Amino acid sequence: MSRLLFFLTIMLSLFSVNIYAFEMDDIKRHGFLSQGYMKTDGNNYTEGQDDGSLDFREIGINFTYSPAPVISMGFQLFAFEYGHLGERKIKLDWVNINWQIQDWLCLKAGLIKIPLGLYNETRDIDMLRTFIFLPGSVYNEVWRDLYANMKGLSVYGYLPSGFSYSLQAGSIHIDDDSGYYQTLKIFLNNPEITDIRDSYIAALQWDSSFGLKLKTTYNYYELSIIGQLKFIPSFPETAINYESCETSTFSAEFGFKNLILAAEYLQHKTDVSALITMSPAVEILQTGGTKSHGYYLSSTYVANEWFQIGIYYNRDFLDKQFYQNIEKESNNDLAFAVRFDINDNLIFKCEYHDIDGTLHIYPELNADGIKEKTKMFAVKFTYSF
Amino acid sequence: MPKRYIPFNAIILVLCTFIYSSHAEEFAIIANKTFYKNSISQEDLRDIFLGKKKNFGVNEQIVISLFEDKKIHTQFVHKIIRKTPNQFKIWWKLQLYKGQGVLPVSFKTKEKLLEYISSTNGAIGYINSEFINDSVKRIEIK
Repeated sequence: MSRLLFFLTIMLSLFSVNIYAFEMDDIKRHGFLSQGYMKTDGNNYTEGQDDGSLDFREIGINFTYSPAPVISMGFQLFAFEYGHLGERKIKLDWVNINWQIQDWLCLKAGLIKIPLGLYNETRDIDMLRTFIFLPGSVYNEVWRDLYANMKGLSVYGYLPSGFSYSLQAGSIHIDDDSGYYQTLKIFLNNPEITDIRDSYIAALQWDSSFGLKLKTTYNYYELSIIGQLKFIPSFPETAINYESCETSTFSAEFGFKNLILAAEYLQHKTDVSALITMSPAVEILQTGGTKSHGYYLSSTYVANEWFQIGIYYNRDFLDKQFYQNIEKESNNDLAFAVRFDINDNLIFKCEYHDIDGTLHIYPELNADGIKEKTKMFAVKFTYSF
Repeated sequence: MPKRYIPFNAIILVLCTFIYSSHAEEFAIIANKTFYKNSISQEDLRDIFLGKKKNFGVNEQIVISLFEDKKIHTQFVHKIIRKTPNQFKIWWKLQLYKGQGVLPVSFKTKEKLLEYISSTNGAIGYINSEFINDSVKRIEIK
């Protein structure tokens, strides 16, 4: 990282950049605070939803400074709680420096957000959308940490005719309290997980002049996990090596006056090898893979300055070719949302979900059994400044 | 029944009032007197005010500024950015919260806006056309 900052300093001195004189007032501060309530009629996606839970909140604050028209820098602190996930731990969400060397060549370095679909980079910012929950097929609530941010470098730029691109490389840290790790703990005893060292991301976007936006993203990473399967007590320790994890999205958004239509498709594919150590002398190597798909269609309408309404249909499912013997292969979610902008700083949202399928529901969080259908209700207040 | 004529002068007066009022509400693009261009295409203006275009070449950087007058801002955003004011606001907040920029400066009064643009190299903004004075330069839309 220090080499990178040195490089940026050298580059800044080579290029003529108009640097402003610094004043404390030039540091801008923005933030948000939200508190929600969620209740389901039985199934739990995270802890406590069947009884109704207030453990549903987010807080974030960022500080930004622009020393020159083409340079900005800053950081954002963020904490969230979603049932048993998040636990209100304050973390650095991003800290980076941006430099628009030329409009087609911009650099962003530090801890940077990960592009995935249309909205992943700002998924934690509730006030920027109509819905409380983004469609889970693309924006899985439990895996949000895995796609939150990476330490590395992004090269991006704006090309003629409305095209823009982004190429990103770096490493991803996975905390023990992340949703991904907590999900692993459902299946494995004391899983050990290494940070993702090599992650590569590419994104291409086209913004038309008539309101249509098309975007595709591709994320690649490798991941190693060591653990012992919980369901078979005598099962030996297994090293699971995700030799490649690929997530691809294809997205479209169309805005016409106050109506916004969006559709996104996601495919997640992995190549896995598992090394099972039966004894110091006997090791068994199993290879295979996983594949899942998801898509959603959404429509939001901004009726006026204080009222918005939205609806989406979301479906995600496991690829039958890869999961022939697994019953819970899909999740179908029909959601309705209303949003009230009480004033410039305060919003209130109300949302209802009619969910068919048990794909993201685990027995460990549902001691009373799992129902095939779930109804979920959520409300949320967000204050921003 | 005798024909009733509307006096010609009255028609002219009404037309003039209409033309004046519609003219009065029209925005114009203004920039610092040292600004690199005298005319800019609508596409370039759109990219400039969305933060996609900040360079006109080496050492020619652009600083955008917004005018909070509701009518003028709405008119500008609809015509040039081709978004609603709400969509425009969200666009900039997306940039801010994903760590890819700072919000543009915005001004409640024309005096403050003119003062900022006239004193900031590379500054560009929009204002009611009748408020333009000698401290800034008017940029034609190609």
